[in-house]
Amino acid sequence: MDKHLYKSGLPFSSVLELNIHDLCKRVHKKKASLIIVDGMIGEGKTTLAVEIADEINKFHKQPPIIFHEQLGIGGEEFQERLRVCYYKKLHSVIYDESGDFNRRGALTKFNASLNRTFETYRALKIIPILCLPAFYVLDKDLFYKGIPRLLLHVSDRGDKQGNFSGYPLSQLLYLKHRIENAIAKPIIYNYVPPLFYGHFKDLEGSRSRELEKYSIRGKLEILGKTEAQTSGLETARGISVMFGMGLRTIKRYISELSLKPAKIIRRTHYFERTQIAAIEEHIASAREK
Amino acid sequence: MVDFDNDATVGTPPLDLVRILILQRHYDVLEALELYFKQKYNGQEMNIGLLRARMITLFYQLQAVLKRKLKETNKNKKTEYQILFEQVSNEGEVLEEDILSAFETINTLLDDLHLTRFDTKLNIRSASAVVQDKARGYG
Repeated sequence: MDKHLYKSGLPFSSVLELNIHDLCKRVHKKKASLIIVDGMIGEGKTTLAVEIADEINKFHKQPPIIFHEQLGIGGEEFQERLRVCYYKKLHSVIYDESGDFNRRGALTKFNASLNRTFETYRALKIIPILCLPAFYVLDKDLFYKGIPRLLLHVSDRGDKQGNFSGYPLSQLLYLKHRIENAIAKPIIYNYVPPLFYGHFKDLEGSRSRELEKYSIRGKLEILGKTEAQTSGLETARGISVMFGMGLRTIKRYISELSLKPAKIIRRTHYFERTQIAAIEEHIASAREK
Repeated sequence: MVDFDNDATVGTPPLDLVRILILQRHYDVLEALELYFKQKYNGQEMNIGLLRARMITLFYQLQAVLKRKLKETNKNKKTEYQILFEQVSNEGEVLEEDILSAFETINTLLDDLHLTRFDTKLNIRSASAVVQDKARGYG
């Protein structure tokens, strides 16, 4: 028997298959369906999310997912992937490391754009799968709109399989309320009984390695971006906000000054402080003229 | 029991008072039934009088509702209400079976009216999150 599959021929308990199929049927009625996979670091959230996405593809008679098409690490990549999925008529997209879409940043432009995405994506008949360590950091608007339909809490991963518990929206709201008022938050998962429990196995060898490689690449990019921001580097967009000018004007000034970016991360150019000061001088001289 | 001498009763909606009165009459019948069967199984002389009297009281307490709800006719063209009336308030000898049959009819009606129904908790036997949410109004 394949050690990556159960007797049912699935990589996870069949109760999850039932739920995924129901959500697929729901999304075809143009109703929003979002799956959240939460759990501590290293519990297998991304693995389970990939298996779910594979099952959604299988439901639509499509091959297993290709990571660079259906797996986005971070919000920006997720939005790109969502677009790709729409054009390629794929029905699921994974938003890994979705902790950047949290309520602390509720007023940021990024969160607002993601909120708008979640309000409108239902028309695309796509099921997004969010992976993050704690679901309750997500923007509350999402819950008020009834967009998340299934929470899978992943915990106590063993050598042979991982475990998950499933909560529908109605229980998710109770869980959220209780967790928000608790001091020791993870213990609350024991107090609100889930609708179902289940297990899942690891991906098949080569695929698992491919996912790990892909995931590390994404995490390195996030690290790079964080590093760039903490070391005072700024993008052209950031500089335009800083000086209250249009992005196109700032880009023109950068080319006039022939500035070379100090760092390039995922095609985004970062400039250091001395270069920003040069742009500022250029703006001042342009105003004098 | 509803206390008509209590000032608080004046402020209670009549609907609530009537419900309590019905439940009280229902309980009285159960009490009389217990007494009757106690006598029966102890081998004592049985007296159906109390049980019959309490059934009549319950019947008249519910009379208007019974008349309205029990309209189905049998092959003798008698309505359920008429049959119940005969079972309860027959001038002649009333049998134990008649009383029990009448009580069954009234019990069913009280359950239909949600007056004695208590198993109202939503219990959906499905492991599907979509089905569970739909039943709870999150369709």
